[in-house]
Amino acid sequence: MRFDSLEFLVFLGVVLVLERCIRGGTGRKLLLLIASYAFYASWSPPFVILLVFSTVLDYTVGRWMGSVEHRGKRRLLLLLSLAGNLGVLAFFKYGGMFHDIAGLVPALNLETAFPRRDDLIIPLGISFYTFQTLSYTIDVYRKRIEPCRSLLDFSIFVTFFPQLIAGPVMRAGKLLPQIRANQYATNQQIRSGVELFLLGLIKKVVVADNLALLVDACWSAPETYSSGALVLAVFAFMGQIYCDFSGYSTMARGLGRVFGFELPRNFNYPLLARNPVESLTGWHITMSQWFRDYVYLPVVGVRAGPTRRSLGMLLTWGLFGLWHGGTWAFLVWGLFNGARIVLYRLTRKRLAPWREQPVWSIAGRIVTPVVFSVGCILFRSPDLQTVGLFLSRMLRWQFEGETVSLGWLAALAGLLAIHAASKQWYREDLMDRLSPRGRIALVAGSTILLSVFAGTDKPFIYFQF
Amino acid sequence: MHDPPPSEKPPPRKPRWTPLGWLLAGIAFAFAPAVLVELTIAQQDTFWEEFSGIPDGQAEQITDAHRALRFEANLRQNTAASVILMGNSVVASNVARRDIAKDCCEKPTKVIKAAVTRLTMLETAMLGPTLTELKPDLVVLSMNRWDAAGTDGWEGVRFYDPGVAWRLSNSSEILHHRSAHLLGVLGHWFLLFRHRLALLDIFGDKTGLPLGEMIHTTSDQPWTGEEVQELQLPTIETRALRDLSRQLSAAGARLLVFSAPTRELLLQPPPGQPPHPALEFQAKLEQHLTQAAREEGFLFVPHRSFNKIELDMLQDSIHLRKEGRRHLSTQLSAMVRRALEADDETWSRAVAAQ
Repeated sequence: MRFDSLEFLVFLGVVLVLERCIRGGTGRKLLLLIASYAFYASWSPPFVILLVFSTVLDYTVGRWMGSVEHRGKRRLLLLLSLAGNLGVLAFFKYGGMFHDIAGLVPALNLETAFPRRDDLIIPLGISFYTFQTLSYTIDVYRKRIEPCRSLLDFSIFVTFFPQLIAGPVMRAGKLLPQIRANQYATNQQIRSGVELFLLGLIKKVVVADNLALLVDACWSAPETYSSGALVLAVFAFMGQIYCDFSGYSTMARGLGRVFGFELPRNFNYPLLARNPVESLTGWHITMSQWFRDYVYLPVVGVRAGPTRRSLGMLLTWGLFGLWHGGTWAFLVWGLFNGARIVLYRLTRKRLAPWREQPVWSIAGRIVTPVVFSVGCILFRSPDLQTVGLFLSRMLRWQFEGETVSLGWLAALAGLLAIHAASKQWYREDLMDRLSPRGRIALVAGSTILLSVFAGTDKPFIYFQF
Repeated sequence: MHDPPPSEKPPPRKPRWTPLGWLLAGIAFAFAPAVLVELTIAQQDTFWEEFSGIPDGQAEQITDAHRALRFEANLRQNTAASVILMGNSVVASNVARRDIAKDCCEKPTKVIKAAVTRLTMLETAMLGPTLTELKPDLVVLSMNRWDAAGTDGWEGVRFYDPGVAWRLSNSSEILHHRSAHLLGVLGHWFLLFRHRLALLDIFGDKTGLPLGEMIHTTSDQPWTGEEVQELQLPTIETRALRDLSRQLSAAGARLLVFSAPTRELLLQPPPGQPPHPALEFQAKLEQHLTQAAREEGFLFVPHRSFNKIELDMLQDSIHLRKEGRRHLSTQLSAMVRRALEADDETWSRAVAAQ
């Protein structure tokens, strides 16, 4: 059941009506939990077991840790949680990669120990909810939060359906208090929630799915397209993946608000960034913060020198790349982004006098997305050969081959202009400022836009991670 | 002097809009034009061109969707029919009802030809309850590749029986198709609006067709057989066939399904060239239908059984010339005769032996 399906809208309507009918805290919480499990089970009922396993493991470990002061025992419990969660994740998500690596050294005969890629189904959203529950256990271990006493509250924290499949990755310190408070959404929250949901839906269905037409065509046979077409396809993919994932996150935030929950922003205009740090920290914010807090800082420390910080950054981004999937292309993508930040930081002081110049800001706004687009080629391509083919055809600037309509260029320019304007003026309060008639017009306009320009009915890209 | 008494009635309150209210109102405003257009198109649609099979032998042209619906009403009027020839344009043009009525039995037998252009298997299954009311002895149905693996889905059905629909599909599938239909309608509306002048300029004067129909009209592309590899049986259409068979069986009627020869099935490939993909498709389909026939108790006649039909007897890819029509009807009437004459035991043996 995807957010952009009619089934989901019916499901949402039923849950909202039931939520409003129920009076009493526990009943509402139970409804949210049942709805969340039903939502997940609509994809694959057997994998609900993994969700239950993760919930029970971390709830038990958290409670146990709360009752133990001995540092060694607490560490042992943390290791138990890490092994349980990461073990399941590694089996389902990286089993294929281990199989490939084992195949590189046939003498060891380890290939049969790991499942082949084709034999595995990656449970939907496993890396999202695994990382969310891990953050809880680590925070309890660090004594930053109190262990959750209610299994019901903790289960909702793990499974809350608006953000279960593809984030935003929540921290227990932010979400658990909202679950405990168990408050219904105010009218203002509902207004703004509907607005965000419609906005996210338009990003996904109208923009991302339509850009996918160009992207899929060019990536299916890059050798047949001219360089200009491939350049356009790369920028179209930037738009597609941004609107796909940020559209999902925006819908998730909207749904959260409709149920009275505040979920954090996951994107901060990364395509309009002036430098790599702005660009990468504005993309999938909750996950990059997760890697900062639970990988980078523990590895590097606060007072580390530049070399250690650089290596730590490369390690963190390498792992972040692998988080997307066990392929070499994702690893290279992660290291490429890590290298961008390292290079930027190392040259930042030397280039400081230049940074005051207006031309620097303009150049930064052009160069940053162009470099980001190279990462997009790594991200979209199924293997490194395709990356090489794409880059070589683009750099040689060949006019031979199929071209694409210049309408695509106009569409991309238009979308960029809307995006820039929204950064300047849009404050997510349109519904609040409009009269009821204005709201009706906005809903009607959005519905027509969604119906008429509905694209190719593609699944969300980040569901595979 | 007294002050005037204060008004007892409070000032009228402005109606308040709840979030649900403005949300539903917005969606209703968005879809209202689409629904209006759908209704208008339904009144004017001339998509369904052909109708034959009135019992007295007079053919009638269907000029709108309402006449297609009358098809069902006509079926209801034809009580006590012994044989009903069902199907789409293959049956409509290739099967001669009179020949079958004349040859199939010794005694006078009422044979109805109830064929509608582009009649899908889903629609045929929807007609199941009507067919069983007629208490026929035998229903003869044509089934070719487009009947077994069509792409119309639920959004194209003209006869809708919720009971049959829910037996054939799950809620998710039905909802998906119905919503796709609704969104498609809205798309048509928008397309009409955007291209109204160009469409009128190109087609309007020449054809005199309503605008809505032009949008609905589809063009037939040559079939290259790409779906052969993707064909996953059973399809919803073959499930519909099984459902129809069960409905008829419960009413005591027999079902005879046949695959008519088409140009792509009869075509000999040039030396060294692979056969047309339709043959591979047909082989898979006929194997599946034979299995279904054994399990459900109906008789399936593969296209090779019509061995007298040759390539030059076809006037296009599916429609037969006069001679071909005569051969098909003669062979079919022999099969109908055997089906009608067979007692239950013989019929069961024939079903099991196929």
